[in-house]
Amino acid sequence: MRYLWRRAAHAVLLLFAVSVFSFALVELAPGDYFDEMRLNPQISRDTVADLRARYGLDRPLPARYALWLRSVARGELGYSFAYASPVGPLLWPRALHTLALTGSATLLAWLLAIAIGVQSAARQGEWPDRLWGALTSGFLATPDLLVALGLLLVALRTGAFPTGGMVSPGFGELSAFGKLRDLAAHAVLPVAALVVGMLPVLVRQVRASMLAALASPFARAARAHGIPRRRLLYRHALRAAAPPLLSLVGFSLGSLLSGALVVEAVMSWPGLGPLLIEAILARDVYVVVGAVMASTLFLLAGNLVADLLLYAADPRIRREGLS
Amino acid sequence: MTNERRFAAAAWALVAIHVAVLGAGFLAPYAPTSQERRLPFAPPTRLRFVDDQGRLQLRPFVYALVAQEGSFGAYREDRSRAFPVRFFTPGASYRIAGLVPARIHLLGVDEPARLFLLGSDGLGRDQLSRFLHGGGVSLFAGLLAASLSLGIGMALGTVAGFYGRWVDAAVMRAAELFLALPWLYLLCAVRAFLPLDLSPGLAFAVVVAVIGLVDWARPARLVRGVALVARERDFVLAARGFGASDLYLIRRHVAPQAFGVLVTQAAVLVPQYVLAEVTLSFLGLGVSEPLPSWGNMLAALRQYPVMASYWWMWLPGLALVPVFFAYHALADALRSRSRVLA
Amino acid sequence: MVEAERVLEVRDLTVAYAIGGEPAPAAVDGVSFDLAAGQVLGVAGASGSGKTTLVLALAGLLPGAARVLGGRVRFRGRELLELPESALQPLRGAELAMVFQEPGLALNPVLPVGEQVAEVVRAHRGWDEARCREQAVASMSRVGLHERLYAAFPHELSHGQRQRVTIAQAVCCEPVLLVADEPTSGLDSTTRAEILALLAELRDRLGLALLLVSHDLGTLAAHADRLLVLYDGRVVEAGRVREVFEQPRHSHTRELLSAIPRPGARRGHGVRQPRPPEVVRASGLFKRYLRRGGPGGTVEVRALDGVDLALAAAATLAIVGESGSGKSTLARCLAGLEAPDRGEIVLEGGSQLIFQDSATALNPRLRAVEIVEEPLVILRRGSGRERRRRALELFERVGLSGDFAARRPLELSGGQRQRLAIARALAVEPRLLILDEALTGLDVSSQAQILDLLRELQAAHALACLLISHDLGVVAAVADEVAVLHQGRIVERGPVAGVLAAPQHDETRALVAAIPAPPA
Repeated sequence: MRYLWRRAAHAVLLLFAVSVFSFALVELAPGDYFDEMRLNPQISRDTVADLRARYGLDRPLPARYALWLRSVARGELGYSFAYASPVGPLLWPRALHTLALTGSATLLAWLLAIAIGVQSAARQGEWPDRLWGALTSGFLATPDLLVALGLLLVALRTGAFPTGGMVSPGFGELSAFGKLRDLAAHAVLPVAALVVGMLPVLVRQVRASMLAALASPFARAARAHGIPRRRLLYRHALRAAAPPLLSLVGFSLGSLLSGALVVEAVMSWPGLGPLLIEAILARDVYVVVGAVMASTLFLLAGNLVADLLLYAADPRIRREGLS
Repeated sequence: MTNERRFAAAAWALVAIHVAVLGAGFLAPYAPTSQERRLPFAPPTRLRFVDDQGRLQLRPFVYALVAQEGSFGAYREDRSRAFPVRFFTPGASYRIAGLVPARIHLLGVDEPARLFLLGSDGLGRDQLSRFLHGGGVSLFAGLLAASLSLGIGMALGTVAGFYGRWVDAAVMRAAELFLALPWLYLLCAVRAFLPLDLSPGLAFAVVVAVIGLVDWARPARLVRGVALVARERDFVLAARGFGASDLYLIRRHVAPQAFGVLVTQAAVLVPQYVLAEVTLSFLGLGVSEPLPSWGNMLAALRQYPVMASYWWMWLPGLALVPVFFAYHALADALRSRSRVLA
Repeated sequence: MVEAERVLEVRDLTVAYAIGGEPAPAAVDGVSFDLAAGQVLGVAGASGSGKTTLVLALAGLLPGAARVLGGRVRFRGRELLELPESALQPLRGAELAMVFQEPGLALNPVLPVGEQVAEVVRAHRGWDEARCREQAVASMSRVGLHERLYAAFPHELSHGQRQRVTIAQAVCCEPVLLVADEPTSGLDSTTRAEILALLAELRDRLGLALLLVSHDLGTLAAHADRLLVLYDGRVVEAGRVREVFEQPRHSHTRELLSAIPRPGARRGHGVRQPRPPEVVRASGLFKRYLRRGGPGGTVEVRALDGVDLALAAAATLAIVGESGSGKSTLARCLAGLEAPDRGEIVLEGGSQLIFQDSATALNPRLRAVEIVEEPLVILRRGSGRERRRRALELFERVGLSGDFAARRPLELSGGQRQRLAIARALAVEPRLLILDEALTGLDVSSQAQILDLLRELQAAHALACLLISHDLGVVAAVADEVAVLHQGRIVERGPVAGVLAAPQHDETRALVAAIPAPPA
């Protein structure tokens, strides 16, 4: 258990390091955002003065960083020049939307991957395994971008799904159930795109891990003791195959979030991705830093959850504590 | 298919693709930037072998496209004149390998007809030409970025794994920092802080540099792992017992193991870097117009009418599938090979 | 006398492995034998003789590449080879049980051991959870495991305890036949004795028919009624234990018999020079490690706690002790690969270390001859051709045929690899050769070959040998002097014959008691 607390503390430290890193990047950037902003006619002099005080716009880097940290503590995370509002209130709804998307995609993808992977491993070499193998290879070679565009085309042509966005106009007037249905209808395609993106890698991993478990001496010993096939697969082999899979969850999270960025951008799902892109194009510095920090937070938190699951699944870790 | 055959097939396919895009200047009928404003979104030109009188022609020919009166965006063929396809015909100038100027193109037709074998885009630019040139940009962006990241990764990983202690700790902490962000977010963030308005050539260099420099951590970790294991292996200890120097040990026992790992890693990373370039360009953060890249060509699809009506605009995206497939097959074959030897 | 039920009848069983479509020589070739209830049949043979293939074939657990080419296996009147998997599954564990060689690997690492026993009960009895658990606990206590170990995981148990768990799994449904494949190899001598005693007790109590497979004829002899000797897949000797030992008919049997390390019987005797020069002297060696884990965060491990020793040329000193006693650390310090925290080592000439695991001690990518050449390459001795010739000479010296020169380590057997490692070590002409458990994991014949080799080298080059082992049988066959290491200290030391005959320290007594003794 102590091990997990250590990992959590480590993650917090890393988050700080990333924030420093981002600020350092801002410093290295040629051109001066803050000058630009001062020249922007849309922003009044008073606002500029106020911003300067709050965020130390023309003070050296360490001072600016310190003021930014304070604004993080206030929940503001800096100021968005494009939206003329603190970053915080902009960020959280978007982060929530991304979480909803990636969370449901992950759940669905793992359930499917286990179902397919276990059966593929159990029937190694037979036609279902070969079929899944071919499909997996095919989809592995298809980038998220293409899948997202393709699904969007399907939506356009068939009209069966909304083409992008998260809610329909007039969302506010719907009943609670109606709202849920609307959200779900809009989520189908983005989630499908992410699942299709994740599935090939996950299926391969589950299959490989299961094959290793089935080939190990304890599986043969279980067979020798007369344990029936089905129970051997799910109760014995899958349990033993789980720890290596959970170790891999961390790696897949990064690509999941990256994939989500693309899917959100293509399908206009109002998540962190489109926010980041807009902010980059508009040179909205604090929003960029905020979005990057949020995505890092998700990645680190996801890794911690995976560690927790691993701790629960593998008794060997509980005894030694990983170094 | 046996492993050796799979490896060979994948390797040859990739070689063919890369040779084709390198020869884009010659193979493409037009320069990638030349526009024909009268023929936006023209469908692929039909090559004909049978003329109006039903006679078979040995040399394929085309009809010129004319905008159809009355309807917007539709074309009809002007059958009044047949334009034979010319081979090895002079056309827009280009440079072989960026150095030697030349003018001969594989295919072409006389003006005012256009040989749009893969259709045209919104500005009337030949998609086949842009596809070939853009392919070169995207594929080589991937390769160059991979060389950069693998080079840095190899150097830092070997040093970290072999010398250990504080060197290892420093390198690994830095790697952790770079790996703490989701990759695409990290790329965008680094790209964000560089100027957005760059000339196409500079933009290309920037994209390659960003992708290559940012992702050194993954290969470095792998190489470090190899170096650590190799360092502890008894045969290294035994050699040390004979008085071998660090450099000898690295050269003889560590580097060969690392190299094998890196080659496999290259086959995995290059397609990812190609995709990174495509994605960045698609989002407007990569290679800028008018230099084509498969990414910025796909950006046209962001408009629904284009996506739904003009199927030939999808080709840059669809072409990624066989390229990735070949790279994956290569990576699989390399992985199997290294398992046998290890 | 009532005929005990004939539990197993095997006739002309032939199994071969098809590798890449090429027909291979049969792994098991026309093997026939019977086994009745309450009997113990020992199956002996060197590694590669077909023992494990035979065992797997009986229960229908052969890997995909193996094909049964002919023969019958009749178990309680039923033809096992003709039964489909669905009919075999209820038999396995309930009537025909198996115990495998590596106990640590035969248990699922993520499930508690008690549950793994209960799973077997559940598979055959179909009872509810509580009743299955009861039965599992009963089975565990029958093999000497306390109920509180039910929730333990395999990695929390000792080697011996793990093997007991697998035996508990095998006997929990009271089978009629128990097949044990090398149930004790890899275990240290004390545990080995305990496990064998357990099997004998179960045989008496349950009336089990026991098929005991091992490469160690000594062990079999002490526990079996009848013996079967396999060589190259065929049965070359069969009969009652006493008969086989007193009148072996086949040359291979004789080889196996003579290979049994016997305390008190020395093999070969050279004329010793008076007062040979000292090759190494170590005094006051002290080394400790800090390891993570334990309640305080770190735990201090005293690997060496004040060790003195001296060794003369052409002499062999054996260091024995259980795992964790500090033997490896001592070896590495004497070989110069590690420095002790305190103490002094004086070495005349070079020393070389031969490691336990030859597979990792040799670079798998290099060819055998390159491996042997490597020291000469590093030290830049001689031209390329001279190095090659010297390497091949060393091959000869260690008894490896020149054909092996082009092979890679993983293509060689364990014994061949160790000889390769010795050849490499000899390339620099050391005065002291340290063997750190280098014979562990080798079958008896390979061990004997290496021991002979060492003796020859000693006689020819006055090489001093430091043999580190937990196996007193091996020690007894080759060492002049033995020192017993326990928790970093030498607790007993003296000439081998004397120490083994009259051990003074408890630790030594335990080690000696665990040597399996062949009949008279």
